[in-house]
Order: sequence, then C-alpha cells, then structure tokens
Amino acid sequence: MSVPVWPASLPQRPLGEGFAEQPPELVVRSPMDTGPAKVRRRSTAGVSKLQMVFRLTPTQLATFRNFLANDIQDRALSFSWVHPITDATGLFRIVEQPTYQAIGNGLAWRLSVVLEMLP
Amino acid sequence: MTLSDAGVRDLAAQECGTAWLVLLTIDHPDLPNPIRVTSDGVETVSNGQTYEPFPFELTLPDDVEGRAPQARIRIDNTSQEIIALLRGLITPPLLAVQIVRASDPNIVERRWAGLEWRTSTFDIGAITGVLTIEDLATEEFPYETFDGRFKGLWP
Repeated sequence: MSVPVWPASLPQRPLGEGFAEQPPELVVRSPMDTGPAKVRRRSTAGVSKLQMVFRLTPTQLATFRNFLANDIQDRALSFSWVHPITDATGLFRIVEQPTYQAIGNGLAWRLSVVLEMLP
Repeated sequence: MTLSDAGVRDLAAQECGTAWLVLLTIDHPDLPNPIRVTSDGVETVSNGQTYEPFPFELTLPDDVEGRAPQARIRIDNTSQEIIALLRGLITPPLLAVQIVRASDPNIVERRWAGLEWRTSTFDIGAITGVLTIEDLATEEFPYETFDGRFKGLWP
C-alpha cells in the first residue's frame, strides 16, 4: 500500500504566525529535591510535534477535506511530506482534529493543524 | 550477569548520552517468527536480530519472598496485532527481555529469558500482562523416582 502524499495543490509552507515545533523528549531526569539531577538518554529517536497554520482558498480547503477523509482516513494514516524548515522528507501524522476558520466570510480559510513527524 | 565496563560508567555518570534500550522477544511454537520489539523510536539491530519500534512499558522482574519473580508488561493495543496473537494461542507465549546500550547493542547488559505471559487484561488502548517464570518450588518432588510402586512406604 502506497503512502499518501501531502497534496501538491496545498501550500507547502505554513504561515509564520502560529508555527511552533517541539522536538521529542528523549531524556529522563532524576526528580530529587536537592543536588544536580542525573540525566540520561532514554531513546535515540522520537516524535516531533508541529503546530501549523495555513491560509487556504475554498478550493484548497475542499482538497484538504478530501485528503483528510480519504487519503489519510481521518488521521489514521501517516503521509509523506517535507519538513517546512529543514526540508527533510519524512512521515507525518495529524494528531488533533484540524480547525477551519473563515476569513472574510469564507473568501479564504484559516486551517490550524497539529502534526507529528515520525522518526 | 555482570554489566559491561561501559555500562557501569554510564550508570555512575552524572549525565549519560547513551540510551538504554529494552528489547522484547515474544515467541511461541505456533508463531512463524518471534515478535521482536524495541523501546527505541527506531529499529534496533542487536546480535543480528532486528527489533521494531513498538510502544510498551515493562516492569522488570521483582524479588519477593515466597513466590517466583514476576514482571509486568503493558503493550499498545491500538493496532490489535498483539491481542490477535494472544487470542490464538492455547499455551502461554514465552518472552525474553534484554537491556542493551544504544551505542553498543550487541552487548546485552541484562537478560531475562523464559518469562511466561500468564494473565492478560486488555482494552482498546493497551494489553496488560503478568510475566512469570516457572516456579520450581511448586514442582512435584521427587519426580519419577517414587512412582507409586512402593505404596507401603507412604501410609
């Protein structure tokens, strides 16, 4: 089964406003009251979390809805895309249900998604 | 089983950049191949075997007086692969737990083998199981030496 791909007709870069990335938590720290904590690595790779906002046209919103419902089966499947900052190709998943907000009475749409990039 | 020198240094250090990984092997005669999973986020290759990343939590075997050591496992059930496997088995699967350092995964720092997956509870999110070893204290003794032919010895 082929891996779905982020549609080419959708923006490939999110808006700067609202973008945030959190790298994976890979260490464990000792929770002691006093003294410097002991720290060790727990795994060699993990999942990065990304928050993104896109500005879409009504046509692009329809494309995204179709991508969400059919290609990635309502967030159950991962898809191939390029990290918007590093340009690294990887597998992504949409973590939370996306939100759509109308801009200018629906002339444009603001799409907010939370993604995770798989190791 | 003793820890390697590098392992002892890691444990004693204030900071340790090497991840300690738990490798789990689930085996049963009815399985075509053992299931091998790692606690790491990517594949781990140890001693020629490839362990796939799979979410699980493991409580290592305890040391309680009066009973055989027990370990506990909680493994992801979202994809329901493992529960499908467990449902099809009549006898308990055997687990082997290995702890390795990510920087040298071919050296096994600790190993517990022959753990039997005994009791299981599961829901949509996870399977929880108790792992035990064969309790030699409850084995019949003497086995096959006294087979009932000398009943008069035991009134």
